Amino acid sequence: MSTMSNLTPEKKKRVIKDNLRSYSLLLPNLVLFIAFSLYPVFWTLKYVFYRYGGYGASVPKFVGLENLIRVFSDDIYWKAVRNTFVYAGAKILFIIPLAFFLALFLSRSRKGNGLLQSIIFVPTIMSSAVMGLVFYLLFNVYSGQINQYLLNWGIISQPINWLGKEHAMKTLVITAVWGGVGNYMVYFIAGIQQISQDALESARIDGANRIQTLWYITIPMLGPILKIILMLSITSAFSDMSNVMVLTEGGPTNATMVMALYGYQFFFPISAGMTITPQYGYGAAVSTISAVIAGIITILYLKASKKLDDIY
Amino acid sequence: MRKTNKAMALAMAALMTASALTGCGGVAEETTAAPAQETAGEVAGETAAEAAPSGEKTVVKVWTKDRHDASFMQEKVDAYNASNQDNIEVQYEIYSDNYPQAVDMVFQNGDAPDIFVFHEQVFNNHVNAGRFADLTPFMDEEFKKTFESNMIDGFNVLDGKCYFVPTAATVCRLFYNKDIFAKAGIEKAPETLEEMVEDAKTITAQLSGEGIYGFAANMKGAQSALSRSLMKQGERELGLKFGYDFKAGQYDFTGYESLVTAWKTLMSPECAFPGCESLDIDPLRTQFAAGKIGMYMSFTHAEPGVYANQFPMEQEWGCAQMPVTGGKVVGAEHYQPLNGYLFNAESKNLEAAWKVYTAIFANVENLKEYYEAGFGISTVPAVIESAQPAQYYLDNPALLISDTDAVYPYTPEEANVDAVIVEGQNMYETMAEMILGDKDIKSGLQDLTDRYNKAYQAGIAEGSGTEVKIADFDPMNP
Repeated sequence: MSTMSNLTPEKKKRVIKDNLRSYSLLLPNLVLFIAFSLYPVFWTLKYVFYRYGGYGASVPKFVGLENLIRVFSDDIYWKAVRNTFVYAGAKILFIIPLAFFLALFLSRSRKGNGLLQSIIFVPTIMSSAVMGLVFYLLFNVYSGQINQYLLNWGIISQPINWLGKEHAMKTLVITAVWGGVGNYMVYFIAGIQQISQDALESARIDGANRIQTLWYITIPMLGPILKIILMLSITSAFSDMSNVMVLTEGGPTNATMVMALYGYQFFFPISAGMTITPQYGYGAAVSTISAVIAGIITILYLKASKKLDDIY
Repeated sequence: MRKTNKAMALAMAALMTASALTGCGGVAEETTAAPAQETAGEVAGETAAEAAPSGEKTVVKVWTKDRHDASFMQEKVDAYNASNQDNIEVQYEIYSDNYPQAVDMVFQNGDAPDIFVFHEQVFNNHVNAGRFADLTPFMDEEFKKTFESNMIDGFNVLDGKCYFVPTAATVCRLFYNKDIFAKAGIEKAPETLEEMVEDAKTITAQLSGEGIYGFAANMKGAQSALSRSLMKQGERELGLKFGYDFKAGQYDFTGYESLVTAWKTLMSPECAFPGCESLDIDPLRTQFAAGKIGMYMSFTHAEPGVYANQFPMEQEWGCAQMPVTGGKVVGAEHYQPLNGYLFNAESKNLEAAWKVYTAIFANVENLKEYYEAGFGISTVPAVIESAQPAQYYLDNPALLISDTDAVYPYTPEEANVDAVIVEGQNMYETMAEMILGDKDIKSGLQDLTDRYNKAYQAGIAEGSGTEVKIADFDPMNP
């Protein structure tokens, strides 16, 4: 390996110039990363130890571990944590296989597949607020289209209260799957298109049928991209809240409250009809513990998914 | 190298997760509660002329959160901009989403506008820090006389300083569908809580087959639903504002048992419109306008306009006082003064701002038009006497502020949001749980009382809050 000291002055100059160019290209992103990722994290960490009602209300007061202790005795927070696990688990359980099979079906070059891919991808670029409102209209118990269809087809005899305590979480998972499946489908399509045609061809020549090809060639060769897709789906499912905010506001009676939204509401009101007493310190403590929980899950996943790296 | 990469990957993943989950406010460094250094009068002496070099217009920025009257206000602003002789230009800006947070930000940035429309949270958050100007030095005798009844000690006048002058108000009432009542054979609006529950049961029992139900509430947001209904009934029935007993100087939610119990029935399938627990106010209004809901409770300043313009209603609606247990009223209902304007104490254009304010927002002719157009219920005697109110006010006098309504003092939590930090669910969420059957009412109300008093006492002990106790408090004349 050559080091800078071994290089001629001319080469040194060129290396420095190349490096400068690279760093200058990185700089804008680095600045944005520091401003919008690092700074908020340190800002939040600082206020974990303060009681602070927000700007204008008072001077932040150092309270040590008080906020953290309060989080551990906050029943609603732990209910929100449980809800988050249910929501994230159900979302991942449905969205990944669905996205995979859609990708499998739509990655073949067939007429109309491009259009179908676009249609399935559209919800990904739609505003989650708009999505929430549309689903509210579809799912509401008194005039929602879903109930109307189910009643007309004779599947149900009484309207289902989709946004009531019993079913609200299922409704949220349905909307989340609908909103996110297109995104993961695109990742899978990219992965499928990377698979060597030679390997698939060899399998076919060896007499493998479609299921065997899928099981022994396609899925193993998707290992690296599957690992990324799973990690993205875990992190996004654990921090998902806009969908919940618009559709149920975490209700009824916290039945759909998730930990990200629970922390958020100590900083900002969830809805226009709500005023809040900001508790920045406590909100920071809730957010930090939520981040730790999500971080632990992500790290556990990364360790468990090590095998996916070794497959290919 | 591989280990380093792995460590980096883990660290980056953790950071990604953390940044996705942590509240990224970006608001606020420490603030000091420094009182305003100069009185409005002193500032007024060095105002417009200094701010605007000769020839340049003095720009007065006005922030509002109100959208319902936007076109009316903009028209008045445009007319003023076109005709004023003081070389003033008004910039009228609407910030309807997260208004309190927007104000927090702008104060921090040092780019605050000259005038803000009054918002209780904004006022309470910043008044103690001296960020609003005392308007008293600007007022002439005529202004004082015109708005004399709008100066409410302990509300907009604190320690002799007037920070804003409300010119309109809103109050909560029971709205009912007269056609549905007639169809169910009910002759009049309920006067007691018991009658209300019975009426709701009757309507649901008789008309649910047609998709018509007795009662609805926008329980998607417990605070939005109960602050316009149950809490208002509590003021009339118990003389308590948000559970606070001003005479005893403490919170006491135990008295709400009768109301919460009745609400539990009102929200049960015996009475309630299906899906109330996930209903927002606008979908509720559309169903009321469609003749599917017998009764609900809301604000009087908004509903008439909603059924005239937003969701035109063919059937006839009526308005009545909030029913209470046994019809026994022991307290006035708190009405919410509106349309006050706060002045930025650090504005360099205070004198110009006052000119703008009196020419547009406190102009009796404009206020008269505003009231007649149904944008808000006037509380200015000179306006009420000379105006011809919209027909629905004449048909439903209960829409107006009456002698059974009054302005209560601020509760400790309202007076200083930082002094009463309640652990666990707030009063609205807790009551919603009781109403929807997730919590026992008696023990839940006792727990609420204990938690609020604990938080209140902690605030006092730490010096962030002060005791609020009014020995001779009369809830009928708060």
